[in-house]
Amino acid sequence: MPSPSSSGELDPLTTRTLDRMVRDHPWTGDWRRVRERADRSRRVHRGMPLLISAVAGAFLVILVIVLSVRTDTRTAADHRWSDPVNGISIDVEAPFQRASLALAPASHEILSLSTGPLLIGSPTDRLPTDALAAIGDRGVFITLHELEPPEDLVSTGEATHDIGYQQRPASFILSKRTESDSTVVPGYGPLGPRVPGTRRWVIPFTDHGRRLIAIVVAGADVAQTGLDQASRLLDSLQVSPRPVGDPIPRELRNGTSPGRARYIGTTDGRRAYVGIAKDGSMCILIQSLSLSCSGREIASKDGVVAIDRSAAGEWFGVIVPPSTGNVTVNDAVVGDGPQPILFSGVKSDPLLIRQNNITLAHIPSPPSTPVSAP
Amino acid sequence: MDETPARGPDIAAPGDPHDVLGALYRDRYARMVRFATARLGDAEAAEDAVNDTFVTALRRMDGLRDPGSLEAWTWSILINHTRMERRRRRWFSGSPPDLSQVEAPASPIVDRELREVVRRLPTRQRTVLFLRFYGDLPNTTIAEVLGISTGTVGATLHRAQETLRRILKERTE
Repeated sequence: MPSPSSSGELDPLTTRTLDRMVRDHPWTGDWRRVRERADRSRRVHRGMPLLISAVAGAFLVILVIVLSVRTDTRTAADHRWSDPVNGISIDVEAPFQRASLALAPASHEILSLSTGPLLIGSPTDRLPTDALAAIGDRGVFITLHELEPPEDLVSTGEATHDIGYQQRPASFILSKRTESDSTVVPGYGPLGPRVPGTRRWVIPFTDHGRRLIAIVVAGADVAQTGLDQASRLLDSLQVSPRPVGDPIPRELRNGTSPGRARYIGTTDGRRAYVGIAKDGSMCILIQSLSLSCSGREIASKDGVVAIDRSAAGEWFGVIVPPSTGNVTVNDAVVGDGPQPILFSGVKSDPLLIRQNNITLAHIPSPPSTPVSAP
Repeated sequence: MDETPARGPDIAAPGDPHDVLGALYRDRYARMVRFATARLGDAEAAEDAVNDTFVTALRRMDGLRDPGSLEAWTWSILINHTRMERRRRRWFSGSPPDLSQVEAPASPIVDRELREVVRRLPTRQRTVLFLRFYGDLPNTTIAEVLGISTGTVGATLHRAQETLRRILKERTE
Protein backbone atom coordinates (compact mmCIF):
# COMPACT_ATOMS: atom_id res chain seq x y z
CA MET A 1 0.00 0.00 0.00
CA PRO A 2 1.53 3.25 -1.03
CA SER A 3 2.22 5.83 1.62
CA PRO A 4 -0.17 8.76 1.60
CA SER A 5 2.87 11.00 1.81
CA SER A 6 4.31 9.80 -1.43
CA SER A 7 1.81 12.05 -3.16
CA GLY A 8 2.56 14.90 -0.81
CA GLU A 9 -0.69 14.59 1.08
CA LEU A 10 -0.70 14.58 4.88
CA ASP A 11 -3.06 12.65 7.02
CA PRO A 12 -5.79 14.56 8.86
CA LEU A 13 -4.19 14.09 12.29
CA THR A 14 -0.89 15.61 11.20
CA THR A 15 -2.62 18.40 9.37
CA ARG A 16 -4.77 19.21 12.36
CA THR A 17 -1.84 19.05 14.73
CA LEU A 18 0.41 21.30 12.68
CA ASP A 19 -2.39 23.68 11.93
CA ARG A 20 -3.09 24.07 15.62
CA MET A 21 0.60 24.53 16.37
CA VAL A 22 1.04 27.47 14.01
CA ARG A 23 -2.23 28.68 12.71
CA ASP A 24 -2.63 30.24 9.33
CA HIS A 25 -2.29 33.97 9.48
CA PRO A 26 -2.51 36.72 6.86
CA TRP A 27 1.06 37.87 7.20
CA THR A 28 2.02 40.44 4.61
CA GLY A 29 5.52 41.53 3.94
CA ASP A 30 6.88 44.81 2.61
CA TRP A 31 8.80 44.11 -0.58
CA ARG A 32 9.79 47.74 -1.00
CA ARG A 33 11.58 47.71 2.35
CA VAL A 34 13.27 44.45 1.47
CA ARG A 35 14.50 45.98 -1.79
CA GLU A 36 15.77 49.04 0.02
CA ARG A 37 17.56 46.94 2.58
CA ALA A 38 19.06 44.83 -0.18
CA ASP A 39 20.21 47.95 -2.04
CA ARG A 40 21.82 49.32 1.10
CA SER A 41 23.40 45.98 1.81
CA ARG A 42 24.62 45.70 -1.76
CA ARG A 43 26.09 49.17 -1.61
CA VAL A 44 27.85 48.27 1.60
CA HIS A 45 29.13 45.04 0.14
CA ARG A 46 30.11 46.74 -3.08
CA GLY A 47 31.93 49.38 -1.10
CA MET A 48 33.55 46.78 1.12
CA PRO A 49 36.70 46.39 -0.99
CA LEU A 50 36.91 50.17 -1.15
CA LEU A 51 36.33 50.34 2.59
CA ILE A 52 38.94 47.69 3.22
CA SER A 53 41.33 49.53 0.91
CA ALA A 54 40.56 52.78 2.69
CA VAL A 55 41.09 51.20 6.10
CA ALA A 56 44.30 49.59 4.92
CA GLY A 57 45.39 52.88 3.38
CA ALA A 58 44.56 54.76 6.55
CA PHE A 59 46.47 52.18 8.54
CA LEU A 60 49.46 52.61 6.27
CA VAL A 61 49.24 56.37 6.51
CA ILE A 62 49.06 56.15 10.29
CA LEU A 63 51.97 53.75 10.27
CA VAL A 64 53.99 56.08 8.10
CA ILE A 65 53.08 59.02 10.33
CA VAL A 66 54.01 57.11 13.46
CA LEU A 67 57.28 56.04 11.93
CA SER A 68 58.03 59.52 10.68
CA VAL A 69 57.11 60.98 14.06
CA ARG A 70 59.49 58.52 15.61
CA THR A 71 62.06 59.53 13.06
CA ASP A 72 61.34 63.18 13.69
CA THR A 73 61.65 62.60 17.39
CA ARG A 74 64.93 60.98 16.79
CA THR A 75 66.00 63.84 14.59
CA ALA A 76 64.88 66.36 17.14
CA ALA A 77 66.42 64.59 20.07
CA ASP A 78 69.42 63.23 18.26
CA HIS A 79 71.79 64.54 15.71
CA ARG A 80 74.20 63.18 13.23
CA TRP A 81 77.24 65.30 13.46
CA SER A 82 79.73 65.42 10.66
CA ASP A 83 83.19 66.85 10.85
CA PRO A 84 84.56 67.18 7.33
CA VAL A 85 87.86 68.59 8.54
CA ASN A 86 88.62 65.56 10.70
CA GLY A 87 86.76 63.21 8.41
CA ILE A 88 84.44 61.71 10.98
CA SER A 89 80.72 61.62 11.64
CA ILE A 90 78.81 60.24 14.57
CA ASP A 91 75.31 60.11 16.08
CA VAL A 92 74.81 62.37 19.04
CA GLU A 93 71.89 61.15 21.10
CA ALA A 94 70.38 62.80 24.13
CA PRO A 95 71.43 63.06 26.89
CA PHE A 96 74.84 63.31 25.27
CA GLN A 97 76.09 66.67 24.16
CA ARG A 98 78.98 67.35 21.89
CA ALA A 99 81.75 69.62 22.97
CA SER A 100 82.29 72.34 20.41
CA LEU A 101 85.92 72.62 21.29
CA ALA A 102 88.60 70.38 22.60
CA LEU A 103 88.11 69.84 26.29
CA ALA A 104 91.66 68.63 26.68
CA PRO A 105 93.42 71.05 24.40
CA ALA A 106 96.84 69.53 24.82
CA SER A 107 95.60 66.17 23.67
CA HIS A 108 94.87 64.83 20.23
CA GLU A 109 91.19 64.98 20.91
CA ILE A 110 88.99 65.31 17.87
CA LEU A 111 85.65 64.63 19.50
CA SER A 112 84.08 64.64 22.94
CA LEU A 113 80.55 63.72 23.99
CA SER A 114 79.32 63.89 27.54
CA THR A 115 76.13 63.58 29.51
CA GLY A 116 77.55 66.08 31.97
CA PRO A 117 78.91 69.62 31.80
CA LEU A 118 81.47 70.16 29.07
CA LEU A 119 84.25 71.65 31.10
CA ILE A 120 87.61 72.41 29.62
CA GLY A 121 90.42 70.71 31.42
CA SER A 122 93.95 71.63 32.08
CA PRO A 123 96.24 71.50 29.08
CA THR A 124 98.57 69.19 30.94
CA ASP A 125 95.94 66.46 31.01
CA ARG A 126 95.27 64.03 28.19
CA LEU A 127 91.71 63.82 29.45
CA PRO A 128 89.62 66.72 30.74
CA THR A 129 89.54 65.85 34.42
CA ASP A 130 87.06 68.60 35.23
CA ALA A 131 84.54 67.25 32.73
CA LEU A 132 85.14 63.69 33.88
CA ALA A 133 84.61 64.61 37.51
CA ALA A 134 81.43 66.43 36.54
CA ILE A 135 79.66 63.46 34.92
CA GLY A 136 78.61 62.16 38.33
CA ASP A 137 77.73 58.61 39.25
CA ARG A 138 75.36 58.11 36.34
CA GLY A 139 77.05 60.07 33.56
CA VAL A 140 79.09 58.93 30.61
CA PHE A 141 81.88 60.68 28.78
CA ILE A 142 83.09 59.64 25.35
CA THR A 143 86.11 61.05 23.63
CA LEU A 144 87.97 60.23 20.47
CA HIS A 145 91.62 61.02 19.99
CA GLU A 146 93.75 60.57 16.95
CA LEU A 147 97.42 59.94 16.65
CA GLU A 148 98.78 62.00 13.82
CA PRO A 149 102.32 61.08 13.03
CA PRO A 150 104.78 62.37 12.47
CA GLU A 151 104.19 65.99 13.42
CA ASP A 152 102.25 65.48 16.62
CA LEU A 153 104.47 62.74 17.85
CA VAL A 154 107.51 64.84 17.20
CA SER A 155 106.01 67.73 19.04
CA THR A 156 105.29 65.57 22.04
CA GLY A 157 108.58 63.82 21.79
CA GLU A 158 107.01 60.37 21.64
CA ALA A 159 107.94 57.42 19.54
CA THR A 160 105.84 56.32 16.65
CA HIS A 161 104.67 52.76 16.68
CA ASP A 162 101.53 50.83 16.06
CA ILE A 163 101.67 48.42 18.96
CA GLY A 164 98.22 47.92 20.47
CA TYR A 165 96.27 49.32 17.53
CA GLN A 166 93.96 46.67 16.18
CA GLN A 167 91.56 46.98 13.31
CA ARG A 168 88.38 48.67 14.40
CA PRO A 169 86.16 46.21 16.26
CA ALA A 170 82.83 45.20 14.80
CA SER A 171 81.23 46.70 17.86
CA PHE A 172 82.58 48.72 20.73
CA ILE A 173 81.47 46.46 23.54
CA LEU A 174 81.50 48.22 26.87
CA SER A 175 81.15 45.85 29.77
CA LYS A 176 82.90 44.86 32.94
CA ARG A 177 84.85 42.35 30.89
CA THR A 178 86.19 44.91 28.45
CA GLU A 179 86.90 47.58 31.05
CA SER A 180 90.43 48.90 30.81
CA ASP A 181 92.57 50.11 33.62
CA SER A 182 95.33 51.10 31.26
CA THR A 183 96.83 54.52 31.83
CA VAL A 184 99.21 54.37 28.88
CA VAL A 185 98.24 54.22 25.23
CA PRO A 186 100.93 53.02 22.82
CA GLY A 187 102.40 55.88 20.91
CA TYR A 188 100.33 58.33 22.84
CA GLY A 189 101.76 58.32 26.32
CA PRO A 190 100.08 58.43 29.71
CA LEU A 191 96.40 59.22 30.01
CA GLY A 192 96.65 60.04 33.64
CA PRO A 193 94.97 58.24 36.51
CA ARG A 194 91.31 57.39 36.47
CA VAL A 195 89.06 59.94 38.09
CA PRO A 196 87.96 58.36 41.39
CA GLY A 197 84.49 56.78 41.22
CA THR A 198 84.57 56.24 37.49
CA ARG A 199 85.17 53.30 35.18
CA ARG A 200 87.17 53.60 32.01
CA TRP A 201 87.48 51.89 28.67
CA VAL A 202 90.41 52.69 26.39
CA ILE A 203 90.12 51.25 22.91
CA PRO A 204 92.93 52.02 20.45
CA PHE A 205 92.03 51.03 16.92
CA THR A 206 92.75 51.76 13.29
CA ASP A 207 90.23 52.77 10.69
CA HIS A 208 91.08 53.80 7.12
CA GLY A 209 94.72 53.83 8.09
CA ARG A 210 94.12 56.30 10.89
CA ARG A 211 95.06 55.49 14.43
CA LEU A 212 92.31 56.43 16.81
CA ILE A 213 91.71 56.00 20.50
CA ALA A 214 88.17 55.78 21.83
CA ILE A 215 87.99 56.48 25.52
CA VAL A 216 84.80 56.03 27.49
CA VAL A 217 84.49 57.06 31.12
CA ALA A 218 81.36 56.12 33.06
CA GLY A 219 80.16 56.92 36.53
CA ALA A 220 80.08 54.12 39.07
CA ASP A 221 76.30 53.69 38.91
CA VAL A 222 75.86 53.69 35.14
CA ALA A 223 73.68 50.75 34.13
CA GLN A 224 74.48 48.50 31.23
CA THR A 225 71.85 50.30 29.17
CA GLY A 226 73.85 53.50 29.52
CA LEU A 227 76.98 51.68 28.41
CA ASP A 228 75.06 50.16 25.55
CA GLN A 229 74.04 53.61 24.39
CA ALA A 230 77.65 54.75 24.49
CA SER A 231 78.59 51.63 22.58
CA ARG A 232 75.89 52.36 20.02
CA LEU A 233 77.15 55.91 19.52
CA LEU A 234 80.69 54.68 19.01
CA ASP A 235 79.40 52.08 16.59
CA SER A 236 77.75 54.89 14.64
CA LEU A 237 81.14 56.52 14.17
CA GLN A 238 82.13 56.73 10.55
CA VAL A 239 85.75 57.42 9.77
CA SER A 240 86.90 58.61 6.37
CA PRO A 241 90.42 58.71 5.06
CA ARG A 242 92.23 61.71 6.38
CA PRO A 243 90.88 64.70 4.44
CA VAL A 244 93.19 66.44 2.03
CA GLY A 245 93.10 70.04 1.01
CA ASP A 246 92.91 71.24 4.57
CA PRO A 247 92.10 74.97 4.47
CA ILE A 248 94.33 75.56 7.45
CA PRO A 249 97.84 76.73 6.54
CA ARG A 250 100.47 74.06 6.44
CA GLU A 251 102.11 75.05 9.67
CA LEU A 252 98.71 74.86 11.36
CA ARG A 253 97.24 71.90 9.58
CA ASN A 254 97.13 69.80 12.70
CA GLY A 255 94.59 72.29 13.75
CA THR A 256 90.97 71.98 14.25
CA SER A 257 87.53 71.30 12.99
CA PRO A 258 84.63 73.72 12.87
CA GLY A 259 83.69 74.86 16.28
CA ARG A 260 86.70 73.30 17.90
CA ALA A 261 90.00 74.60 19.14
CA ARG A 262 93.13 72.59 18.88
CA TYR A 263 96.57 72.84 20.26
CA ILE A 264 99.16 72.97 17.57
CA GLY A 265 102.80 73.70 17.16
CA THR A 266 104.07 76.28 14.71
CA THR A 267 107.14 75.95 12.59
CA ASP A 268 109.03 78.51 14.60
CA GLY A 269 108.53 76.56 17.79
CA ARG A 270 105.85 78.69 19.34
CA ARG A 271 102.78 77.11 20.80
CA ALA A 272 99.40 78.09 19.51
CA TYR A 273 95.79 77.21 19.34
CA VAL A 274 93.84 77.40 16.21
CA GLY A 275 90.17 77.09 15.80
CA ILE A 276 87.48 77.50 13.20
CA ALA A 277 84.32 78.84 14.64
CA LYS A 278 80.96 77.64 13.49
CA ASP A 279 80.56 80.77 11.43
CA GLY A 280 83.65 79.73 9.48
CA SER A 281 86.00 82.30 10.88
CA MET A 282 89.46 81.13 11.80
CA CYS A 283 90.80 82.08 15.15
CA ILE A 284 94.38 81.73 16.16
CA LEU A 285 95.70 81.95 19.64
CA ILE A 286 99.40 81.90 19.39
CA GLN A 287 102.08 81.83 21.98
CA SER A 288 102.95 85.43 21.88
CA LEU A 289 101.60 88.62 23.12
CA SER A 290 99.50 89.07 20.07
CA LEU A 291 96.32 87.36 19.20
CA SER A 292 94.23 87.68 16.14
CA CYS A 293 90.86 86.35 15.24
CA SER A 294 89.55 86.56 11.71
CA GLY A 295 92.38 88.93 11.00
CA ARG A 296 91.45 91.19 13.87
CA GLU A 297 94.13 91.68 16.43
CA ILE A 298 92.72 91.05 19.84
CA ALA A 299 95.78 91.34 22.00
CA SER A 300 95.04 93.01 25.25
CA LYS A 301 96.30 96.32 26.30
CA ASP A 302 99.93 96.70 27.29
CA GLY A 303 100.67 93.17 26.15
CA VAL A 304 99.58 91.87 29.52
CA VAL A 305 97.11 89.23 28.54
CA ALA A 306 95.33 88.11 25.41
CA ILE A 307 91.83 86.96 26.07
CA ASP A 308 89.01 86.65 23.64
CA ARG A 309 86.41 84.37 22.30
CA SER A 310 85.89 83.22 18.79
CA ALA A 311 83.49 85.02 16.54
CA ALA A 312 80.86 82.50 17.57
CA GLY A 313 81.61 83.22 21.17
CA GLU A 314 82.51 79.66 21.89
CA TRP A 315 85.93 79.73 23.29
CA PHE A 316 88.59 81.97 24.51
CA GLY A 317 92.21 81.64 25.19
CA VAL A 318 94.81 82.97 27.44
CA ILE A 319 98.24 83.09 25.97
CA VAL A 320 101.13 82.94 28.32
CA PRO A 321 104.43 84.10 26.84
CA PRO A 322 107.50 81.90 27.30
CA SER A 323 109.05 84.08 29.90
CA THR A 324 105.96 84.38 31.98
CA GLY A 325 106.22 83.34 35.55
CA ASN A 326 103.43 81.89 37.66
CA VAL A 327 99.87 82.28 36.49
CA THR A 328 97.42 82.77 39.27
CA VAL A 329 93.67 82.68 39.44
CA ASN A 330 92.22 84.21 42.54
CA ASP A 331 95.69 84.17 43.95
CA ALA A 332 96.13 80.43 43.36
CA VAL A 333 98.87 79.24 41.04
CA VAL A 334 97.28 77.42 38.13
CA GLY A 335 100.08 77.31 35.66
CA ASP A 336 103.69 77.95 35.16
CA GLY A 337 104.83 79.42 31.89
CA PRO A 338 105.47 78.78 29.22
CA GLN A 339 102.09 77.04 29.17
CA PRO A 340 98.97 77.91 27.29
CA ILE A 341 96.06 77.99 29.66
CA LEU A 342 92.39 77.62 29.00
CA PHE A 343 90.17 78.42 31.90
CA SER A 344 87.07 76.34 32.07
CA GLY A 345 85.50 77.91 35.10
CA VAL A 346 85.24 81.40 33.69
CA LYS A 347 84.79 80.66 30.04
CA SER A 348 81.68 82.63 29.30
CA ASP A 349 83.06 86.11 29.28
CA PRO A 350 86.54 87.57 29.26
CA LEU A 351 85.36 90.14 31.68
CA LEU A 352 84.75 87.40 34.19
CA ILE A 353 88.36 86.47 33.93
CA ARG A 354 89.35 89.93 34.88
CA GLN A 355 86.74 90.05 37.58
CA ASN A 356 88.06 86.79 38.94
CA ASN A 357 91.39 88.42 39.43
CA ILE A 358 93.38 86.52 36.85
CA THR A 359 96.80 88.01 36.69
CA LEU A 360 99.91 87.26 34.79
CA ALA A 361 103.31 88.25 35.95
CA HIS A 362 106.68 88.95 34.34
CA ILE A 363 105.34 89.94 30.99
CA PRO A 364 108.14 90.62 28.53
CA SER A 365 107.98 93.04 25.68
CA PRO A 366 105.66 92.04 22.84
CA PRO A 367 107.18 90.79 19.61
CA SER A 368 107.38 93.28 16.86
CA THR A 369 105.18 91.33 14.39
CA PRO A 370 101.89 89.98 15.62
CA VAL A 371 100.63 86.78 14.07
CA SER A 372 97.48 87.18 12.14
CA ALA A 373 95.07 84.80 10.60
CA PRO A 374 95.58 83.90 6.96
CA MET B 1 -5.55 24.33 4.61
CA ASP B 2 -5.36 23.63 0.95
CA GLU B 3 -3.95 20.16 0.49
CA THR B 4 -2.70 20.81 -2.99
CA PRO B 5 0.72 22.33 -3.11
CA ALA B 6 0.48 25.89 -4.26
CA ARG B 7 2.05 26.92 -7.49
CA GLY B 8 4.68 29.56 -7.15
CA PRO B 9 5.09 32.56 -9.40
CA ASP B 10 6.16 31.94 -12.92
CA ILE B 11 9.86 32.27 -12.24
CA ALA B 12 10.78 30.93 -15.63
CA ALA B 13 9.09 33.84 -17.32
CA PRO B 14 11.39 36.44 -18.84
CA GLY B 15 11.76 39.71 -17.05
CA ASP B 16 13.70 41.33 -14.29
CA PRO B 17 14.80 38.54 -11.97
CA HIS B 18 14.27 40.91 -9.07
CA ASP B 19 10.63 41.21 -10.07
CA VAL B 20 10.34 37.42 -10.14
CA LEU B 21 11.79 37.31 -6.66
CA GLY B 22 9.34 40.04 -5.63
CA ALA B 23 6.48 37.93 -6.91
CA LEU B 24 7.82 34.98 -4.95
CA TYR B 25 8.04 37.16 -1.85
CA ARG B 26 4.48 38.35 -2.12
CA ASP B 27 3.15 34.91 -2.94
CA ARG B 28 5.15 32.94 -0.35
CA TYR B 29 5.61 35.44 2.45
CA ALA B 30 2.85 34.16 4.75
CA ARG B 31 3.82 30.53 4.24
CA MET B 32 7.48 31.23 4.80
CA VAL B 33 6.71 33.12 7.99
CA ARG B 34 4.55 30.24 9.18
CA PHE B 35 7.36 27.79 8.41
CA ALA B 36 9.91 30.00 10.17
CA THR B 37 7.58 30.43 13.12
CA ALA B 38 7.33 26.69 13.46
CA ARG B 39 11.13 26.47 13.43
CA LEU B 40 11.79 29.41 15.69
CA GLY B 41 8.65 29.53 17.83
CA ASP B 42 8.54 33.28 17.43
CA ALA B 43 6.46 35.01 14.74
CA GLU B 44 8.39 38.26 14.96
CA ALA B 45 11.75 36.55 14.58
CA ALA B 46 10.22 34.50 11.79
CA GLU B 47 9.24 37.60 9.84
CA ASP B 48 12.73 38.99 10.33
CA ALA B 49 14.21 35.74 9.08
CA VAL B 50 12.02 35.77 5.96
CA ASN B 51 12.88 39.39 5.17
CA ASP B 52 16.56 38.68 5.76
CA THR B 53 16.21 35.71 3.44
CA PHE B 54 14.98 37.88 0.59
CA VAL B 55 17.60 40.54 1.26
CA THR B 56 20.22 37.84 0.97
CA ALA B 57 18.57 36.44 -2.13
CA LEU B 58 18.46 39.85 -3.81
CA ARG B 59 22.09 40.44 -3.00
CA ARG B 60 23.25 37.07 -4.25
CA MET B 61 20.83 36.63 -7.09
CA ASP B 62 23.42 37.38 -9.73
CA GLY B 63 25.27 34.25 -8.65
CA LEU B 64 22.25 31.98 -9.09
CA ARG B 65 23.12 29.69 -11.97
CA ASP B 66 19.70 28.08 -12.49
CA PRO B 67 16.80 30.58 -12.40
CA GLY B 68 14.42 27.63 -12.38
CA SER B 69 15.55 26.70 -8.90
CA LEU B 70 14.89 30.17 -7.51
CA GLU B 71 12.19 29.05 -5.10
CA ALA B 72 14.11 26.07 -3.76
CA TRP B 73 17.16 28.24 -3.44
CA THR B 74 15.21 30.86 -1.48
CA TRP B 75 13.76 28.25 0.85
CA SER B 76 17.21 26.84 1.51
CA ILE B 77 18.36 30.35 2.41
CA LEU B 78 15.44 30.61 4.82
CA ILE B 79 16.35 27.28 6.43
CA ASN B 80 19.89 28.54 6.88
CA HIS B 81 18.68 31.79 8.40
CA THR B 82 16.41 30.02 10.86
CA ARG B 83 19.21 27.59 11.71
CA MET B 84 21.57 30.48 12.37
CA GLU B 85 18.95 32.23 14.45
CA ARG B 86 18.40 29.11 16.57
CA ARG B 87 22.16 28.79 16.98
CA ARG B 88 22.48 32.45 17.89
CA ARG B 89 19.76 32.09 20.51
CA ARG B 90 21.42 29.01 21.91
CA TRP B 91 24.71 30.86 22.24
CA PHE B 92 23.11 33.79 23.93
CA SER B 93 20.62 31.96 26.13
CA GLY B 94 22.65 28.81 26.65
CA SER B 95 19.70 26.63 25.64
CA PRO B 96 17.54 26.05 22.57
CA PRO B 97 14.53 28.28 22.18
CA ASP B 98 11.66 27.29 24.40
CA LEU B 99 8.89 26.78 21.92
CA SER B 100 6.28 26.42 24.62
CA GLN B 101 6.90 29.87 26.05
CA VAL B 102 7.42 32.14 23.14
CA GLU B 103 3.97 33.17 22.06
CA ALA B 104 1.28 34.89 24.03
CA PRO B 105 -1.98 32.96 24.56
CA ALA B 106 -3.89 35.45 22.42
CA SER B 107 -1.63 34.82 19.44
CA PRO B 108 -3.19 32.97 16.52
CA ILE B 109 0.01 31.10 16.18
CA VAL B 110 0.64 28.79 19.07
CA ASP B 111 -0.51 25.69 20.72
CA ARG B 112 2.23 25.21 23.30
CA GLU B 113 1.50 21.62 24.08
CA LEU B 114 1.51 20.61 20.44
CA ARG B 115 4.80 22.42 20.00
CA GLU B 116 6.36 20.19 22.60
CA VAL B 117 4.94 17.17 20.86
CA VAL B 118 6.27 18.18 17.44
CA ARG B 119 9.64 19.02 18.91
CA ARG B 120 10.08 15.36 19.71
CA LEU B 121 10.21 14.55 15.99
CA PRO B 122 13.68 14.00 14.52
CA THR B 123 15.08 17.14 12.90
CA ARG B 124 14.83 16.02 9.30
CA GLN B 125 11.29 14.66 9.72
CA ARG B 126 10.25 17.90 11.34
CA THR B 127 11.83 20.00 8.58
CA VAL B 128 10.24 17.99 5.80
CA LEU B 129 6.91 18.12 7.54
CA PHE B 130 7.13 21.87 8.03
CA LEU B 131 8.15 22.47 4.42
CA ARG B 132 5.31 20.38 3.23
CA PHE B 133 2.63 21.70 5.53
CA TYR B 134 3.58 25.31 6.27
CA GLY B 135 5.52 25.93 3.09
CA ASP B 136 2.96 24.08 1.00
CA LEU B 137 5.81 22.81 -1.14
CA PRO B 138 5.51 19.76 -3.40
CA ASN B 139 7.84 16.88 -2.66
CA THR B 140 9.99 17.73 -5.68
CA THR B 141 10.74 21.20 -4.35
CA ILE B 142 11.34 19.90 -0.84
CA ALA B 143 13.81 17.42 -2.32
CA GLU B 144 15.51 20.27 -4.15
CA VAL B 145 15.62 22.43 -1.04
CA LEU B 146 17.13 19.73 1.13
CA GLY B 147 19.26 18.12 -1.55
CA ILE B 148 17.65 14.72 -1.22
CA SER B 149 15.61 12.56 -3.55
CA THR B 150 11.86 12.87 -3.93
CA GLY B 151 11.45 9.30 -2.68
CA THR B 152 13.33 10.14 0.47
CA VAL B 153 11.05 13.10 1.00
CA GLY B 154 7.98 10.85 0.71
CA ALA B 155 9.44 8.25 3.05
CA THR B 156 10.47 10.90 5.55
CA LEU B 157 7.01 12.41 5.47
CA HIS B 158 5.50 9.00 6.06
CA ARG B 159 7.79 8.29 9.00
CA ALA B 160 7.15 11.74 10.42
CA GLN B 161 3.39 11.18 10.40
CA GLU B 162 3.79 7.74 11.95
CA THR B 163 6.02 9.16 14.67
CA LEU B 164 3.67 12.02 15.32
CA ARG B 165 0.70 9.69 15.52
CA ARG B 166 2.54 7.50 18.00
CA ILE B 167 3.52 10.46 20.16
CA LEU B 168 0.02 11.82 20.16
CA LYS B 169 -1.35 8.41 21.04
CA GLU B 170 1.09 8.08 23.93
CA ARG B 171 0.08 11.51 25.04
CA THR B 172 -3.62 10.73 25.19
CA GLU B 173 -3.13 7.40 26.98
